[in-house]
Amino acid sequence: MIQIVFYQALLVIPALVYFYSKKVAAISLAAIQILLLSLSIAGFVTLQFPQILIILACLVLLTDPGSNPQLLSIVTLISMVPLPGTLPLVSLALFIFIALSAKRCQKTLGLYMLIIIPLTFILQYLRYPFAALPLVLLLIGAPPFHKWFSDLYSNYRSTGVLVALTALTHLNAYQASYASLTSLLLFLGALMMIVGLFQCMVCKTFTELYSTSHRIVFGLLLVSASVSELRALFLYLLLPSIFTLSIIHFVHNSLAERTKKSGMFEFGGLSTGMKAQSACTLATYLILFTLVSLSSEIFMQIGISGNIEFILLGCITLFVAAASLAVFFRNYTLIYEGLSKSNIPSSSSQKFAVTALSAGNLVTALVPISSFSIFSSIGGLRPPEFEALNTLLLIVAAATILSAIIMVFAKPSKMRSWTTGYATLNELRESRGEIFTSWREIFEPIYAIKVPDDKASEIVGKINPIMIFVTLAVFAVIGEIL
Amino acid sequence: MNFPVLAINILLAILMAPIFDGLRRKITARLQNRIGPPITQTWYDILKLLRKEIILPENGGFLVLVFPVLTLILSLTMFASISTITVQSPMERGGIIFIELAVLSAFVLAIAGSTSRNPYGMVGGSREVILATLVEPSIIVSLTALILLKGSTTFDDISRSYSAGIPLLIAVVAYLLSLLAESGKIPFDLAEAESELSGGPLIEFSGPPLAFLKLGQSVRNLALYSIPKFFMIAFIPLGLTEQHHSITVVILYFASLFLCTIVISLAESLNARYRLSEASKFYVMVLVLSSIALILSVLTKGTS
Amino acid sequence: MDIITKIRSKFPDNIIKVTELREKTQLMEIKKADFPQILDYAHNSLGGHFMTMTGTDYIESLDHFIIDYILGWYEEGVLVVFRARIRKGDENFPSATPYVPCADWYEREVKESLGLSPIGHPNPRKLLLSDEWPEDIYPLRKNYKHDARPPYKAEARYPFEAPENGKMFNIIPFGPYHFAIHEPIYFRFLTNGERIVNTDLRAGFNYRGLEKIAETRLTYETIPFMAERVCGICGSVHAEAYTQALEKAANFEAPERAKWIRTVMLEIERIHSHLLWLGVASHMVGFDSGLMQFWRVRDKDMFLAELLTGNRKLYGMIVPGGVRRDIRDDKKEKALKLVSEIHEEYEELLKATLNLGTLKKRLKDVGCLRKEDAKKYSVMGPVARASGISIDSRRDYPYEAYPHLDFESPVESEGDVLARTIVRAHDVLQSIKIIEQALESLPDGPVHTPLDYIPPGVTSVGLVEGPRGTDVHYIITGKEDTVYRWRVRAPTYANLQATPLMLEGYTLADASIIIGSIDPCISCAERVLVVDANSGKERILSSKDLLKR
Repeated sequence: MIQIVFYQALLVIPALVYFYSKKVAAISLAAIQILLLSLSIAGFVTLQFPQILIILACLVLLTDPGSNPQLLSIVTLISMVPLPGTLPLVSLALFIFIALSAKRCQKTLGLYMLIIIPLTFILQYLRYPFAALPLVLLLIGAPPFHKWFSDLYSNYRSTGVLVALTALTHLNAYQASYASLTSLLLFLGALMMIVGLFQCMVCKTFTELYSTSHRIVFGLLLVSASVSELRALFLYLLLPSIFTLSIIHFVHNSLAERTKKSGMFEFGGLSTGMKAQSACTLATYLILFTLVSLSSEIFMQIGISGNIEFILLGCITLFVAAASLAVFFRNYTLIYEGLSKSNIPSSSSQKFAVTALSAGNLVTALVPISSFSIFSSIGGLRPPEFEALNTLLLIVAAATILSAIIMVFAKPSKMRSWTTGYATLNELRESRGEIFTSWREIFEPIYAIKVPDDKASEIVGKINPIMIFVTLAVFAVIGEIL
Repeated sequence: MNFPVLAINILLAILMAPIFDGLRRKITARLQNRIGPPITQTWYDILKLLRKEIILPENGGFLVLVFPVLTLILSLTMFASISTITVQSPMERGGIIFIELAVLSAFVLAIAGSTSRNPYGMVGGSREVILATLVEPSIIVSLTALILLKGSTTFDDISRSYSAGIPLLIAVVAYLLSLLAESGKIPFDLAEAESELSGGPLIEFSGPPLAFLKLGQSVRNLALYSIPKFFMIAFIPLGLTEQHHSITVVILYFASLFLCTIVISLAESLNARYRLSEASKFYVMVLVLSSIALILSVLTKGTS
Repeated sequence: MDIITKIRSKFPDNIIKVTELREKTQLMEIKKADFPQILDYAHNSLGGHFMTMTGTDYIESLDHFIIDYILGWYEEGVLVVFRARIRKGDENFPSATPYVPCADWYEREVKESLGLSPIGHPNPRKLLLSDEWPEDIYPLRKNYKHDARPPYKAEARYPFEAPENGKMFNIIPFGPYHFAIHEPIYFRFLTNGERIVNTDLRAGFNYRGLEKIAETRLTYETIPFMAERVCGICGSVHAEAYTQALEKAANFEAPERAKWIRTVMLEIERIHSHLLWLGVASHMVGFDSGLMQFWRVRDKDMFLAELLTGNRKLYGMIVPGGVRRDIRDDKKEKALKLVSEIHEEYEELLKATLNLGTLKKRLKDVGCLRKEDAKKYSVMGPVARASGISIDSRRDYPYEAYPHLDFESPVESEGDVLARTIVRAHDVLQSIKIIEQALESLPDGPVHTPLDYIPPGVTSVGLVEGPRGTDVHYIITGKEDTVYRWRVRAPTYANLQATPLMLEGYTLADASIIIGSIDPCISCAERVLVVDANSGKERILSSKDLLKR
């Protein structure tokens, strides 16, 4: 008792000093917190785990020059008070602080974090609004509304993603309420993946690229969110999907902003100057591919051991996984290979950001599945002896190592392409036409299926997704009242 | 993971794959009134290629080395999930991995073609992608039908819980047809058409990369040829003693390899090359057939 | 003659003189300014077939050049040579290409080899000389020594047609080395994915300088052997055309037996050429069994040639005055037996392959050439007959033993590759028929009578129906046992000009079979002039072009 009062007294000091000198206040707060930590390690003070976390968080926040040490010291003070309900409150306060300081350096990130708080509150109160289902689907971009999804993406890109993810999380949390609609949701999810795949193959602008790759991801997430057996899969897929989508956004967005161009055919040859970005984009595409193929394996396993409809889903997802490789390769080569048309210098902060995001992507994608526990929690299935992802990883790693060995020891001699013959290499590189035109011709029947939603898309595409989400909440409240 | 069986499988795959490719060439030659190359010719070709220097195209660089090795490794891993001349398979529940790898290796070749930025390579690569998109669903569906009928995802000869019947017959026919479409030989070799595209996706590969690619392709074909054994075994009424099993398994395995080789050689000698539009019609027909097989097997599984 | 009367009535004031070179061959001299109208009338309104065009250098002796356009009317069996003089110092002439599109290549060749520029030509790029050849050196002029070496010019680029601005196209290079074409030629496709939107082509990789060598170093007797080497597949045809032209100039008739033996050799060559083509075409569409089987039958034909001449190819039989070897009776018996074997196997093979569904699908409705376009470009041989134009020099301009033999020339009307295949396939059957008839009724007599006197300065044209179409050799005899001018016009020369039209709108998959369907014999098409072997060879192959970037 005496000890806690002592520390509370200590923590008051920086709050008081703040009125005289902000810098001294920050330094003193940091010093006191470090003292607390070392005392707890040495065993003189017992601090609970959440309190240690809070102290660490405060220390990190102190590095932000705009943060308020007074408020931080008060927050730490409160955390020391063993009252019920203080910890969530303190966590909330800290989250707001983090969001505010994030907003100072990365405006959009901070904005998202600030949006999450009210959205999470709303989420707690939503139950079963059947009428809200179409809105949920609208948010996620379920077919057949292609155009509006693309329009949404040109107007409210990031907000759209965020709100859609929130809607999916809601769906996952309240699966039981939507149980009667499971088959519809599965069908829509599978359809979204296929539609996204085919549209991504013929996309010409960045907006189309985003919307189609998002459709693939959201289709997958929709499928795993709708079924109770796949709850663990959904939770696993959530983080890597967010990272993947944000990387795809980030890289292409910065390209578009720098050059004021948004057509994919206007780039080329960037891989030499933007090595980090090109490597990260490639890695992102590969991780997306592994996510889809992992899911397909799980679907097939479930299907074979009982639920027959998952077999079809598994076949479709398997096909999407394999074909997505080709699609990603096309998109990658269009932007990064060939003769460089625009000379875009890349900034090191961008490189750092994209590398950090990719690292996060890799970690969240690979670490959970390396342990068997995640697998066994998925529907109670026994994991196969070689998880699919491990096999694939092994193969790719082995191939890369072998090739590196060959490259080092075999000493290949470089030469130019032989068929230029009478045409110069430059001329051939310059030709930036679409190579996959025969794709469009062969699959013309599929591309010819058009839903007459142009007018509707114009209107819906301009609505802020948050408005849609608020409508969802209103429906929820109504549903609860009735 | 049963390592001795894995070693047997991989060794068999590497040794036998070029031999069966040479056998196909011999049969085709015989049908054309020629003497034809010896059966070991493909091995001679691969060994000769391995002795040459590595020349890389200016743009592709590193990737030209990666893809052949990747193809080979993917194809060899397919052998880790099925049983060949032994009764057990190296991996339990490897059926789905087999399907995944089969589909993946098809697309890898398609992408390999585009890595060098050679116009012929890219046109060939795009053709290969379209073909793969059309063919792979049939392979997926017919193999899934097999898995359903077999009742387990382990491709070995121990667990035989299925009986011969109409669904199995349709499934095996659908599988053989999709194998034909998958084989990449006339009439379906439009991606690699020598006279039209000077080699298509393979244009920039020479020397050791080409050797690995050829080996990888033939190993993959051998893995796909090994599947009919699991269909055929249902038609043979046998007691389940181990002894009978091992010899029958070996005979059946080679029988299935021969069957597939002969079917493909016949198709090769008696047909001209399909264009993309005609080939796609054929593939759609095969997909419909495999879907019928899958539906029938789902129904029989449901009722049993 | 009708044709001449019609032209005279249309253009009464423009004709200077009309001479008859021999029966049914007229020489009409006109002013060079009248070329476009008269040729337009003759080709487009009167339906003439463009045979060839030449330029000859008479500067040292007569102070002028002459230009000859030769048009032929197959139905009447008439040839008219339109000649104009070009004075020294005024070395140009109005181009007829805007009115008669098939004159395109010929005028370009005259421009680069003689220096006479066609004014108004839409496409005056180099045709056969390499890009580094200096602009002001004209190889075919008499003052240029056949073994001179022009100074080396810095690297030049052939100006290809550029794609329209703003549209995205892929450039696909087809050649000079490509598995589908068996000789070097460069097609540049502008494609939209796989669909060909536009074609440009560059020829001239197989340039050997035969005409200049013939004019300077060879004699009448030795030229046929050189002519045979113009092409590996249709050599005898060239030897025959040259010999025909020479014998016409000398007003000489070869002995009967020699004529019949010549006919037999020409038909043996036609069989071998068509079987080769059928095999290659099968290979191009992926039907390898066809390739193997057709070539197996073709080998029998080559053995037949070896039996009769001692050579499987390049027979060396046709010389001015007759043939070099006789056919003994026992050989005749063996030959007839071989021919019937070929007939049997060929019929069987034809039935098996032409009914093959997959093969037909690849050939049908591909590379269509409509009748109007075929007439516009004056295509020759099976290509013309497949588009509904019935021309055959054996029947229309009879030579050797053909007036006495019974044969047909099948005609199809679709104009696609399948039609060309069928025409060629039936041609083989007709050739077999001809050989059987000829061998059975071979007349007795000598096989060679030497020519004694060939008057100098005579213009003469020889026309022979080769496997690819009408081969035209034009000579002006000279002094001292040499030719003053020898111009070879192989049928592929005309057919190649129509190829870009056939390719438009089809996919890359069909490109090789379309180009192959005209049975291109590129070596035939490029035989004009250049320098000597050692340093010249580098320039011909333009190795710098092939290696530089």
